[in-house]
Amino acid sequence: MDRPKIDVRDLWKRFDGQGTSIEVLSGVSFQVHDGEFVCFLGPSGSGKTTLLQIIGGFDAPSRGEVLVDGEVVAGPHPKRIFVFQESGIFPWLQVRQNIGLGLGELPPLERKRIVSHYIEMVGLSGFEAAYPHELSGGMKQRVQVARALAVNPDVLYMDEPFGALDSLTRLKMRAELVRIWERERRTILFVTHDIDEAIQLATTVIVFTPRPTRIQTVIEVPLPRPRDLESPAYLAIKEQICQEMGVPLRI
Amino acid sequence: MRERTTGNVLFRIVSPVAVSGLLVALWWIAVSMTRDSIMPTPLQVALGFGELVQKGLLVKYTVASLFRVTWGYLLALSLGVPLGLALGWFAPVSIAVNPIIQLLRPISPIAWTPLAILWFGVSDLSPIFLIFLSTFFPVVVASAAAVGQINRVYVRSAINFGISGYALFRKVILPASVPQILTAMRVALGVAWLVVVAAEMIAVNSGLGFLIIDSRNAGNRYDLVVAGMVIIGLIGLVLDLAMRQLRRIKEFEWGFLGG
Repeated sequence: MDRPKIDVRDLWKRFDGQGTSIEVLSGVSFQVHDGEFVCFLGPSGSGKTTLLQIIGGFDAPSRGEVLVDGEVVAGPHPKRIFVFQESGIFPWLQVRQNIGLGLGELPPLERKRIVSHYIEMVGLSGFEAAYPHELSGGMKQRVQVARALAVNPDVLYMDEPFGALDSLTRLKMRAELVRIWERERRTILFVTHDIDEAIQLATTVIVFTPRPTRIQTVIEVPLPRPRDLESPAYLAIKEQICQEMGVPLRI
Repeated sequence: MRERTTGNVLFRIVSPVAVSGLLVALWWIAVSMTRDSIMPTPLQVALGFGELVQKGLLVKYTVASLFRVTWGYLLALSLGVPLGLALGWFAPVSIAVNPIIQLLRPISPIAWTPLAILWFGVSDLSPIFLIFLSTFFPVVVASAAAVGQINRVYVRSAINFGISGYALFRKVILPASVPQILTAMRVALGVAWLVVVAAEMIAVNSGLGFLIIDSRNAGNRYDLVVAGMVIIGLIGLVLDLAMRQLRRIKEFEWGFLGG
């Protein structure tokens, strides 16, 4: 097949403190193709977030390199947007101003059109002029997702974006994200420690070991969408991942 | 639980009036009982207040004091906020400038009075200079701290969207710091109002501070001394209430939630 969208080559990351040195990543390599939805799954405190930040250009690896479209990543890029777990949007801007953040270069009318389009897509019509502190946690994350989509990015890096939400809202947000991904086919790298979340979202799940993080296994999820969370195929994949991670299936 | 104290509007109006009234009554009784000829009763103070109004001194001195506070305060803000933001954002500036600021900061502005008189003489410039000093350092330190405490995620998001340089400052650093700077401005205005009174006792021939010291020196007019004190308190209260309104700016409400 053609060149991978994202090519992660032998990444190592070590944090040096006073007299101590913590190895976070030890030799992580994988490739992601255009339009894939990849979930990084691993226990909390493993190096998943560090890995995503390196791929996103916010942190430098101790060794190894990341290529996107064949070019080495040297810093963040406006075509590849990072969605943070929380407080990624600016509290001093209204919803529409937040969503228009990356559209400063465009003529006002065009900008307005794009902002309205994504406000509608994430279901925030009527809240254009609201400030973030007037919104619920789920609505804030929708603003962040809309802000990211508005600049028409190739890639979304999502670091547990729904981690701080209650479980019902989280389910709804997942369904919406899948709907948007199916429509727009961005490449998405999504960090989570939630096995169900990974299986519901991903085309490919990369399971990481506890620190120092390595790839334990890569699992394709060929389930059709919308995914039936009680189908035998779904449960079989879940069982396989639970076994890989040493998580009991029955409590 | 809440109903008992905060829910009752009547209580919120009546109780402060009652407490104040009680204190005034105690004052009155104490002065009457001691038959002190110098310490004024509330009535004498009220009459003194009327005398000040009649002579036009009240307005004149209040305007003089506010004039000095305004200039000293605005000067301190216009220099202090930019310097503080620079200290917070550019590490080299901080390394170079911070030590001297930390050294000058603990010096009471009143300690600068002899130098102020040496440099500016007995003129408006002396108290303006002292007010400037008293306001400048808190504002610098608060502005620098505000930048230092900006959530890193804001900066990262902005950079991710290709915002850098001056745009980053204007769109992120400044608005993210504003709530803390507003709080510092409010505190600083309170300090400026404290300092102008002290400065006017030494360095000039007008203003509310001068009124107090002059009333005492020229014939022990303690009724005017206390009247002056009351005016200072009232104006300080009004200034603080005005500054509080800044928190209502919709854009910066987020910075004052729960505060």
